[in-house]
Amino acid sequence: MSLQISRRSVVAGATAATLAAPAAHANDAALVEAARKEGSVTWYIAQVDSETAERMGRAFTARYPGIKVSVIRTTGQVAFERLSQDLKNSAPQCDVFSTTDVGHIPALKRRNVLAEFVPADAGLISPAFKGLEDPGYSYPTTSTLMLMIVNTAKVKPEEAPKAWSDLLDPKWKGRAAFGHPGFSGYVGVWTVQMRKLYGWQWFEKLAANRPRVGRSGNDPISLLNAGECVVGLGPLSTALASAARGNPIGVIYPTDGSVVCVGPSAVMANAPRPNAARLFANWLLSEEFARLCIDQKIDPARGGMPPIEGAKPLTDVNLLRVGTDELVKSVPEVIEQWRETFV
Amino acid sequence: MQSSLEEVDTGAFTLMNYYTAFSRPRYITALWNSLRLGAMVTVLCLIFAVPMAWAISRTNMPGKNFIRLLMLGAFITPPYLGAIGWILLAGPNSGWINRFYMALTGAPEGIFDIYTFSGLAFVIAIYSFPFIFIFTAAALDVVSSEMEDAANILGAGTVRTTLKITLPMVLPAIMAGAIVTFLEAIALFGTPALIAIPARFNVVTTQLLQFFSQPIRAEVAAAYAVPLLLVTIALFGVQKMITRRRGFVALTGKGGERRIIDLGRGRWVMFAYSMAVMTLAVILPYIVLAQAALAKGWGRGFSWDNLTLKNFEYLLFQHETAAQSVINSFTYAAAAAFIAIGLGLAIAYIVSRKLLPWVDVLSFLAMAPFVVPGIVLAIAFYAAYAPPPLALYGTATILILAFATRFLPIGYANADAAIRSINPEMEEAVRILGGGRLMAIRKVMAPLMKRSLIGAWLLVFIPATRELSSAMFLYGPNTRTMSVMLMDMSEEGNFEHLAALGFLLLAATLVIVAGATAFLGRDFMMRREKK
Repeated sequence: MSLQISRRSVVAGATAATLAAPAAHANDAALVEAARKEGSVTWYIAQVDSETAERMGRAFTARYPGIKVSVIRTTGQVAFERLSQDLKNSAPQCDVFSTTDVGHIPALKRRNVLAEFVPADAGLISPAFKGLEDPGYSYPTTSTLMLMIVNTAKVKPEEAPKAWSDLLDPKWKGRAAFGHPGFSGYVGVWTVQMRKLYGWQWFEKLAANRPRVGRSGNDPISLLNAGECVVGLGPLSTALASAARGNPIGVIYPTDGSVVCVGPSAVMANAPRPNAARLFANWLLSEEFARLCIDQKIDPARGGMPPIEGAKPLTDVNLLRVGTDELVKSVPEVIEQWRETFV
Repeated sequence: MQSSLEEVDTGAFTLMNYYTAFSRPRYITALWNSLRLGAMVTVLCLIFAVPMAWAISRTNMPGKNFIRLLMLGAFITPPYLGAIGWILLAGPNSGWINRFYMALTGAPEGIFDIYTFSGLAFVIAIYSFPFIFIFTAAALDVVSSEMEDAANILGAGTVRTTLKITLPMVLPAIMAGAIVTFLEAIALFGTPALIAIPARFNVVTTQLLQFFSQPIRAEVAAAYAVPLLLVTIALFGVQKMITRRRGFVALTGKGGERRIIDLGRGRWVMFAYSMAVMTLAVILPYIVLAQAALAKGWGRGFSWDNLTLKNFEYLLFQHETAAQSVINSFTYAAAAAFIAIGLGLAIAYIVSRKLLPWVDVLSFLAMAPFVVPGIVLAIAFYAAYAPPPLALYGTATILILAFATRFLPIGYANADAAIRSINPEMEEAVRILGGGRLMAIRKVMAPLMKRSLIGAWLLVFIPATRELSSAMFLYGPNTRTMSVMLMDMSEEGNFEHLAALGFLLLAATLVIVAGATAFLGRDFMMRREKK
């Protein structure tokens, strides 16, 4: 099932701050003071690259002097493995966990390791992300689209594929690039959606066309930049950022749909710095954070922000969304299927 | 302390779930792939390294210093970075070499595909062969020419003498280097992740990572690593068998004369061969990396308006953690090298003089960490040291301990080779004359081994600066190493900064090694003083 998001509803969500749960945690002076006493916050983050994460951390420290942000940036699955090791060995490190696989959230909640917490600005989250929060525990903080990318120096606009289904054309044999759902949370979401759309047979046909499979969702961008491949699957955010550096990367919004990928964040129950954790989680939904995201071509979860330069208005895009429950069930399945079909 | 580390590893092996580990054909294929990979890499490394070691150590080949400098370049290049260079060179569609070939011949397809099994073996080999080179050259440097002269007098030519006399004398060193190479090849994570996954096959390390993703099956992973341990045991068995059959003591305390062999016109052949290998390992990859490091957008290729120094400026002056990560890598590697050499030496001495029962087990334990893939080692370390009371997570100590353990085998193998090459008679002489064991060590062993131990220190230091797989799990917010940073950048498609960081690393290492060389008055890869 695909869900159309209209610009009107996005704007409406920004003004209607009525979604907030009653227990929203405001940035009152007491919280800031308590956080400052803790002096730092450790952020496990998969949603943005390390440079951006560091920059965001510095912005937080500038906003709240005396509270340093320790950034641990990895891919979604590695972040989760690390967190699991922390928990298993009762050596809590992480205060705020920001992943790219929404399936991590229910898994953590089942183990009772998420703090019950409603960020101050939870009510300002864009309705586009409605249903992706786990009220009281986890809220989306960033998102991007997984869509088609193309090397504009090698593929003329009229020859470019229009839809995912076009990638089965022998014309793209050995020249199409993908990430791996076993590594990348966002590629997992895309794979679940494609399976829903075309069935697994589509991937078997794709395998016959010998695509180049990397690991990270960003790997195809490197392969396209190198000219090794000419089309592929990639996140809108990194594609636009790479193009902004002058690389020959273009984005195509496939007619059969761009996949919405949402990154949730949660405060850990055993956070070593609980107040700083809450202050930071509040900040992840702030306008300041949202602006930092937009600078990096990432969609913030907070509504009412200006559109990303170079991106199409979402109203003009065929958006595909998969619910959290379905992802929890289907991502492990497609990882296994992927390994059987590809590697 | 070392034994406690070993218990962590071996302790894990008692909780095995062999059934799961070998229940799927896919898992067994990955294991088989790793063994084949290790064998192929070792053979390639022998072909690359042994002739060069011989030429540099024993012949009048020209350009020795230049070749050694390039060898150093190959050694300090993180395999991960070299692999990226080679993807740019030999990608089937876009690789520079392939495009050049297609332009030259008009062929529709390139000739090299890096995304193949042999492609992977090649890329690993060109960054592993310095191990064999250094081991072999060090041994050749101390072999005296007397026996070669004897062979010559009896009518054997240069080639025959080399094959029949010289190389067999340094066989223990060649074998030690080959074993280190084999183990390094099968424990490597970064390069297979970059090449094997797109080439659509798995090796042990990429398979192991799957056991650590949801649901985490650490015991299965441990069980899965056991066949590698068995192979290691077998390798040591073979080494023992060969070295026991004959005597290999070549350093006897009597002054042997070492003579440079005149190769005539053949010296240019050797030079061409060495340069060819070095071109593959260093020159070509760094040319393509230079393009990325100096580009605003590397996908645009060479053009004047695409040139910039901003990537370097950014890393050096604006990026908060880049410079710190290089410093971290160097300090951790230096500390780890001291620990590994100290322990390695102690164990090697105990083993060679049989001071304790069960010395073979001790010797095996000293080599075992190398075959335990870095990922497994990191998880074991984490479990042992991250929780209270030690709470070492995020500290430099846990990384240093992990690096020291991981590279203990290099320290041990070197110390062992150094001790083996010294005839115990010299030590016995001290003792017969009434000196104690400690005096023998201090006055005889230490001076004889001093140089090779400094070389050994660098042999641990350099791979430790490149180490990725164990650092990946153990670094904390303030202890990120350069290798982790390189991987982050590659996953983010940030090749401009990645390549620039690679050059900074190269420059920093060269400065350190040049400093050490000036201090020692010689090259660490050579045992002999320059005359």
